Amino acid sequence: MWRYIERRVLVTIPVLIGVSLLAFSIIHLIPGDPARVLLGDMGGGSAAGDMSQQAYLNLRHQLGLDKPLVVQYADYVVNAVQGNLGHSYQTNRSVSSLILTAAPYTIELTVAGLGFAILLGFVLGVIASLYRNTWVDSLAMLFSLIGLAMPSFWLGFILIEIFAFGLGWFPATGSNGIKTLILPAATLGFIAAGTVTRLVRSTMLEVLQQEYVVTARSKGLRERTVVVRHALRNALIPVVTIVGLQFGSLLAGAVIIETVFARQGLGRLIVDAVLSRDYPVIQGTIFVAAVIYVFVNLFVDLSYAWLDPRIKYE
Amino acid sequence: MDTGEFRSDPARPGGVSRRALVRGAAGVVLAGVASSLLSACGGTTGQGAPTAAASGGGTPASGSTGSGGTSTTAGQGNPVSGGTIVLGYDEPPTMDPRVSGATIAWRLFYNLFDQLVVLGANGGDFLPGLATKWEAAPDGKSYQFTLRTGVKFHDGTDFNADAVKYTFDSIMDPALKSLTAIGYLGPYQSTDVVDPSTARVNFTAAYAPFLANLSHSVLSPVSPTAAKKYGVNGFGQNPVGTGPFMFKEWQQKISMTLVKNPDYNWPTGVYQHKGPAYLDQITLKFIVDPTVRMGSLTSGEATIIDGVLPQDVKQLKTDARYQVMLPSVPGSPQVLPMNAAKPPTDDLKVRQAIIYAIDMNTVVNTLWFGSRKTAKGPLSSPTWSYDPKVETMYPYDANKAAQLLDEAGWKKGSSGVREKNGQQLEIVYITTNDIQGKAGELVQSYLTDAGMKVNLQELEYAATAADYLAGKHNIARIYFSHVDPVVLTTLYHSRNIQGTNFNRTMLPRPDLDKMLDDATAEMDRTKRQQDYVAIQEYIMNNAEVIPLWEETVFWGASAKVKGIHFQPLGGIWFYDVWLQP
Repeated sequence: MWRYIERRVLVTIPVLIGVSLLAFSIIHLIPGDPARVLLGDMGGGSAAGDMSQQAYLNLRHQLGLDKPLVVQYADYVVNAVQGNLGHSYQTNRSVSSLILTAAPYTIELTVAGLGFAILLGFVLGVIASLYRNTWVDSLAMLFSLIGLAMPSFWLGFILIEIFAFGLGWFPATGSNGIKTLILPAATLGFIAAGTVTRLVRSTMLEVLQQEYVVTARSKGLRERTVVVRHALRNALIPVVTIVGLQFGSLLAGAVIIETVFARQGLGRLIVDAVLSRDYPVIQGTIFVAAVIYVFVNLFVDLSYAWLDPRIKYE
Repeated sequence: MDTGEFRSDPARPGGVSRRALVRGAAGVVLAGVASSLLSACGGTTGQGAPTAAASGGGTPASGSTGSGGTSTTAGQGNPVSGGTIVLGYDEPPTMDPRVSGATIAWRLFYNLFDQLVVLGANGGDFLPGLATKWEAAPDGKSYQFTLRTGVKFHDGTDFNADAVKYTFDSIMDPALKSLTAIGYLGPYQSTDVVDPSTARVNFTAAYAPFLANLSHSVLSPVSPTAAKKYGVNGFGQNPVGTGPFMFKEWQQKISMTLVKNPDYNWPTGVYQHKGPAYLDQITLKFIVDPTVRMGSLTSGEATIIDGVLPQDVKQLKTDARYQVMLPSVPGSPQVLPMNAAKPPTDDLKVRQAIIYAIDMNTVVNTLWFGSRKTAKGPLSSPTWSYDPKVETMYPYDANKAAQLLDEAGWKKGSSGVREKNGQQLEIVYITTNDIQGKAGELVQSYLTDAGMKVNLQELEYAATAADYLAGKHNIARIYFSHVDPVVLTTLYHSRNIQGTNFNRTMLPRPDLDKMLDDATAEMDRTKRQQDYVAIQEYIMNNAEVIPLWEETVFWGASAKVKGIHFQPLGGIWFYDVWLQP
C-alpha cells in the first residue's frame, strides 16, 4: 500500500511541472502587458502621471518582464520550489499569502457544494432506482437533466431572484457566515448532482440485480438493510470516482459562482488576476488548484481499498 | 417481513414498503445534512468586521423619524467629538502612497498623511502644510522648504528634512515600483538636508508643476523608520504618516480600520479647526457589488459610501435622511483620442466632423442621468488654467459635420455610408467593455447617421492597451486626473506615444511638444496659465480628441455627517467631519 502511495506521489511531480509549464505558456500568449495595466486607468482610477520612458522600462525590468521567457520560467521554478511564489504585481502582497487567505473560502464552498451534490444525488438516485420507470423516476431524471444542462450562472441568478430578493431568506452576496454559503453551495451542488443522480441510479439498478441481493432478501433481511448495507455500498465505487472528478469541476465552477455571489475565494482571485495580467498570482493559483485536484484524486483512489476489500494496492 | 405495498417491478420481489423508504431516505438526508454543516463549520466562515455603530455621535439616519430638516451648509451646530464612520468603499491595492496608482487609495492617503503644501479651496493658491514657507529658485531647478517643527509620525519618530529626503529618494528607487509618485517628481535630481527643518529639492531642469504635485497625496512624507522596517513590499500594508488618522488594521477583502491620531496638532492650511480630529474611528467596509453598497447606505450599515448609482441620485437628494455630494475631479476629462496617423482620421476635417456630429450632451445625460457635466476640451473645468473658450468651439452641428465631410471628399454613397475613391468611410473605435462601451454605442449611432461605418470593439482593459500601442484604433479612450495642467504633457506629448502610450493620438507634433515643455518650465504663474490656454486651444483646433464627460465622485452619506469638505481630487477631508448626535 505504501509503495503504491509513493509511486503515485512521484507521478504527481511531472504532472505538476506540466501544468505549470502549460499555464506559463498560455498566460504569455494572451496579448496584454502587465506593466501597461499597472500604469493605466483600469477600473476608473487613474494611475501614472507623466512617467518617463526610462521609468516605464525600469518597471518592466523590476517585474522581470524584459527577460527571455525561458529565463522567466526558470526563475519562477527555482523560486517556487523554495516556497517563494512571488508577489502580486497589483498589490505587492506575497502570492502565497493571497492564496492562503482565499483558499479556505473556495474549499468551504466546494466541500459544501459537494455535500449538497452527494446528498441530492444519492437521494434522487436511490429513489429513482427503487421506483424505476414510474413518475418518481422520471421526475428525478428531470432534475438531473436540468442540473446537467443548465449554466451555473443562470441557476445562481434564479436562486438569488427567488430566495434572496424574493423571499429574503438568504443574502444575495457575501462570504461571511453560513447564510451566505447556502445559495452558492446549492447552485454548485445542484449542477454536480445531475451527474451523481444518474450514476447512482444506474449502479444501483445493476447492483440490485445481483445474486447477493436476492440472497439477502431471501434471508429475510429488512428491505432497508438490503438497500443500504448491501446494495448501496457496492454501488459506491464508480460513484466515488465520479465524485472525485466532480471535485475538479466544482473547483472550476467556483470561479463563476464566486463572481455571481460576490464571494471571496480562489475563483475571484484568479479572475481579477487574469484581467490585470497579474502573472505571479495566475501561476500560483493554477498551481495550487492543480495540487489540490491531484491529491483529491489520490485520496479517492485510496478510498477504493477501504470500500472494496477485494481491491489491493501494491 | 414488510408488507410489500409497492409492486411495480416484477424484478424486485420484495418491493420496498413506504415506511422503509421513508426511513431510508431520512437516514441519508440526515447524514448529508450533517456532513454539509460540518464542512461549512470546519472551513473559515469569514469574520465580518463587527458593525461599528456610531457611539456618542448617534446612530445612522435610518432610525430617525425624518423630523427636522437637515442642511449641510453653514449653521450646522457645534462639532461633537467622538463617533465612528462606516465607509462603504473599494479595497485599495496598496496603502503605500509612494507606490499607489489608484485614485481611491489617494483619497484615503490624504487622511493618513499630510503634504508639504496643500491647495486652497479655490484650487489655485498654495497653503502651508508640513512646510510653512517655500521658495523656488528663479531658474526653477530647486525649491527650498522651511519645515514645521514638533511634527511626529504615527510611530513616534520625528518628521524632519531627512524624512523628506528619504521619501523622495525612495520613490525614485526602481525596487519600489512607484507608479504615480515617480512621474510627479519630474526631473528630480536630489534633496539636500540643509538642516533638520530645511530641505532643498533639486531638479535637472526647471519644473513648474512641483508645488501642485506636492499637494497630491502620493508625495506625502512617509516615516523612514517604518519604511525601512517593513521594506518595499510591507509598507503598503503598514502605512505610517503624520496625518490626523492612523492605520490600525486591514482584513484583506473585508475591512480596514483607521483611528484618530490623538497627538495630531499641526493642521494644514486647508483644515478648519485645531487639535485632533473629531471622529474616533473610520471603518472601511469593502463592498464590491454596487447595488449592495447602495443598500448598505439605506440600511444604515454604512454611514458614507462612494458610488451612489447615478439613477438613484435624484431620489436620494430629496430624502432628508441623506445627502448626496458630487465633487468634480480636475485634470483631463474622459476623452476619446483620435489616431491622426491612420486614415481616415489622419484628415483634420474628418476629425472635426466627428466632433460636430455627436450630440454629447444627450450622450452624457443618457449615461449619467444629469449627474455629470459634458466635457468640452482637454481639461476639466475645475482645473487651474481651464480655458472657457473651448466650450464654444464645437457645438453639436450635424450639418456642419456633413459639410466638412463633403469638403474632404467623402460623399454619401447609395448605402448611406460615405465613400471616396471607392473606399468606405470606416472608423475603428476600440474601447473598454464597461460604461465606456455604452458610451461607444451611443457615439456610434451619431457617427452612423453622419455616414460613417463604425467598427466598435468593446474589449477588456489589457486587450485595449495592447491594441492602442499597436495603433489599431481610429478612436481610443483615456482619462487621467490631476491637480495641475501638466497632465496635458502626459496625454499629448510625442514622447508618450511609444513607451507608456498615454498619447493615443499617435502623431508626433513637435510644435505642441515645445509648447508643453515650455509650460512645464515656466515659473511665472500668469505666463504659465496663458501657455496652457494656448495649448488647450491648439489641441481642440487640431481636433485631437473627442471630449466626453468630466469625472465626479458620487458620495452618499447620512444627513448626520457634518463638516464635509473636499480634497483636490474629490475625496473627503475626514479631519473636520463630525457626527451629529
